[in-house]
Amino acid sequence: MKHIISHPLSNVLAALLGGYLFTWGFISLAITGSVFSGVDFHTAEHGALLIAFPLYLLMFFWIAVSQRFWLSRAVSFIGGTLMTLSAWYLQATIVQAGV
Amino acid sequence: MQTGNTRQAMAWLHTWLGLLAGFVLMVCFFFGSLSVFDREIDRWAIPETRFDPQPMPSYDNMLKGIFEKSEPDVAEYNQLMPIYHDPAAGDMTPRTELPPDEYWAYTTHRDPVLRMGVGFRVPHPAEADEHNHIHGNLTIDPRDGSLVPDDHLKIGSDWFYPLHYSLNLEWKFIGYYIVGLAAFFMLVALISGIWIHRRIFREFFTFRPAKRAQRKTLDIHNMSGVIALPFHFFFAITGLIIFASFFYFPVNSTMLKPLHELSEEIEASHKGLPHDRAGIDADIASVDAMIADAKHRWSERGMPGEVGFLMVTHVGDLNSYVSIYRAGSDRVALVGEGIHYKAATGELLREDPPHSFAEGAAEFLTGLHLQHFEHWFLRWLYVFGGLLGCVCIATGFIFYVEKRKSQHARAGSQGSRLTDAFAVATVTGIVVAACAMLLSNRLIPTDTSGKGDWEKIVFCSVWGLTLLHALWRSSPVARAMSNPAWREQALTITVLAVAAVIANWLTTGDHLIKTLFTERYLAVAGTDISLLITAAIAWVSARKLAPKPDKSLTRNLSTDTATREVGYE
Repeated sequence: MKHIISHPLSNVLAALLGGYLFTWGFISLAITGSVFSGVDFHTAEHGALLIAFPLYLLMFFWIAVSQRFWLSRAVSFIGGTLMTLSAWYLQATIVQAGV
Repeated sequence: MQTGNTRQAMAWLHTWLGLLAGFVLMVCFFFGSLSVFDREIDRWAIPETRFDPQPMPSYDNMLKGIFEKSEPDVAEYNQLMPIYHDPAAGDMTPRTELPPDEYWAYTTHRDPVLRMGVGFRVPHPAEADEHNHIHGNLTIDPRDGSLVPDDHLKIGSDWFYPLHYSLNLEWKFIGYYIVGLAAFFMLVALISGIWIHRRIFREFFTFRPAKRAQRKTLDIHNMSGVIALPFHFFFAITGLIIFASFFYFPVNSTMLKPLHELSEEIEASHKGLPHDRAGIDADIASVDAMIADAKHRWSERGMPGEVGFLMVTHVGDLNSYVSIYRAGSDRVALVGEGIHYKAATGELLREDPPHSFAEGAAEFLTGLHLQHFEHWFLRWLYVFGGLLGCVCIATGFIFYVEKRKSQHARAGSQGSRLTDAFAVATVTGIVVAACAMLLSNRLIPTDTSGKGDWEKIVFCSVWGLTLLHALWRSSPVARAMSNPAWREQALTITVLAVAAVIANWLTTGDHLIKTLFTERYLAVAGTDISLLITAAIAWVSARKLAPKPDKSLTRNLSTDTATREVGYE
C-alpha cells in the first residue's frame, strides 16, 4: 500500500480519530475488566487514565507516520470499536449482577 | 506522509502541529507560569486582603453563621433552575428559599482570605439521580468574618489561573477542549522534535550568536526545548490527566455511567458515608470538636497539620456528615488524609485508608502539576520552566517566519505576514493585556460596580487591539522585512508595567521600600519586582529591535535621509 498518496492533514485526522477511538475502547475495557476482576472502580479508572495518553500518542504516531496505511487504520478503528462493544457488554453483565 | 520517510513525516508534524498549537500553548505556558503565584497576584489586585495567611477559622463561632446566611448565585439560579426543576411538581422554588445541601471551606498556606461555598439543592428536581446543585460562593476575611466583595476580581486565581487551562471560554467547556488538543499536539511536537533533531545533545550546547537571525533563533528554540524537555512533557501530560475523566476521556459520566453509579453506591456503603439524605431533619454537633479530634489523629500518625478543606454533606439531615481534610503544604501528592464524622453526633465514621498504587500515582502527578506544597525555590523553578516554554514557542514562531518570509515575499504570499501578526499578538500581546489589566485594577475606583468585569473587558479589549495593531503594521513582512509591532508592543509593555507599579504605590501607599524593608509584604513586593523585571526585559528587547541605519544608504544619501528606518516602511 506504499503507493497510496494521502494528504498529511487526512493522516493527522485519521490519527486523531483512530487513536482516540482505540484509546477510548482500551480504557473502557480496562476499567470494566478490572471491576469484573474485583478491582475498585476508581482505582481501575485512575490506572487506565494514566496509561491513556501514552497509548494515544503511540497510536497517533503509528497511524500518522506508518507505512502500513490500512493496517494502522484497521487496528485502530476496528480494534477500538470491538473493545468499546466488549466493555459495554461487560458493564451490562456487571450491573445486572449488581456487584 | 506515508510516501516520504519517517523523519520527513515527523518534521511535518513538528512544524505544523507545533505552529497551530503554539498560539494556544503560549497562553497556557505564560499564564500557567503566573498561576504559580496566583494568590500573590490576588493580594496585589485586592489591597484590602494584604495580610498574612490565616488558618481555618472556627466553624462553630464564625463559619456556621456565614454558611446559614449565604444565598444561591443569582446568575446561576437563573441559568440552571429552569433546567433542574421539574415543572410537573409546580412552580420553581424561589432563589432565597432553596435549602442548603453542602457546605465547604478551603484555604492554603498562601491564603489570607478563606473561600467558602454552599451547594443548594433543588427540592423538586427533574432528574432526582443527578447532582442538582445551585451554588453560592463567597470569600471572607477569616480574622473577623467580613465578606470580600464579589465584584473584586481575584486576578491571579480567578482570571490568569483558569485562562491557562480553559482560556476562560466557558461555553460548552470549549476552552478546555481547545487547550486539551493543544496540549496533545504539544506532546506530538516534543516527540517529533526529538526525532528530527538526532544530534540533540550537541544542539543543547549550540548557540551561534554571530550567525544570522534565523540560525540564532533555531539555536535558542532547540536549547530552550531541550533544557526544559522533561518539564514541558510532564506539564502537558499531567495537565491532560487532571481533566481526563471530566473532559477528554469521560467514560465514567457517559458510557460507563451505570457501572460508575453502582460502584459509588457500593463504595458509600463500604465507607459508611451515606450516599443519600435520610429525609429526617437533624442539628449539627460541634464541628470545632471534630476538627480538634482530626488534628489529634493526624498527630498520632506522625503528620501533624492544619485543616485545608472542610465539607459538610447532606446539610441539616440525619445522614449529614462532616469531612475534614489536612492541608497538603508539606507534600507533593494531593492527599488530604480525610477523616469523616457523623454531623448530628460527632461520632467518627471513617478515616480514609492509604490509596492504591494507581490512585497514589495519579495524586502525585496531579500534585506535582498543581504545586500546593510550600517550597518557594521549587515554585520559582516552575515559573522559569514555564517561561522557558514561552521562549521555545516564541522562537518557534520567529524561526517559522524567518525561514519562509523571503520565499513568501517573492511568491506574493501573505502566509508569513499573517503568522507573524498572530505571533506578535500571542507573544507580546498577552503580556500587554496582562499589564493593562493590572494597571486598570489600580486605576478603576474600588467602589465601582462590577469592577472585576471592567478589568476583564480591559484585558480582552487590549489583547484584541494588539492583534489589530500587529495586523495593521504587518505589511513589511510581506516584503521580507520585520514587523515593527514587535518593538512597539515591547515598548508598550515597558510603559504599562512601570505604570502599574507606580499606580500601586499611589493608590495603596505600598511602594517597594515599604513592602521589602519597613513593612515587609513579599506577595506585593514580588509582583512589583516581577513587573519591573518585565519592563526591563521589554525595554532591552525594544532597543535590540530598533531599526538600524542601512550603511550602504548612509554612504549614498544625504544626512537627512541617512538615518531613515529602512527596516520599516
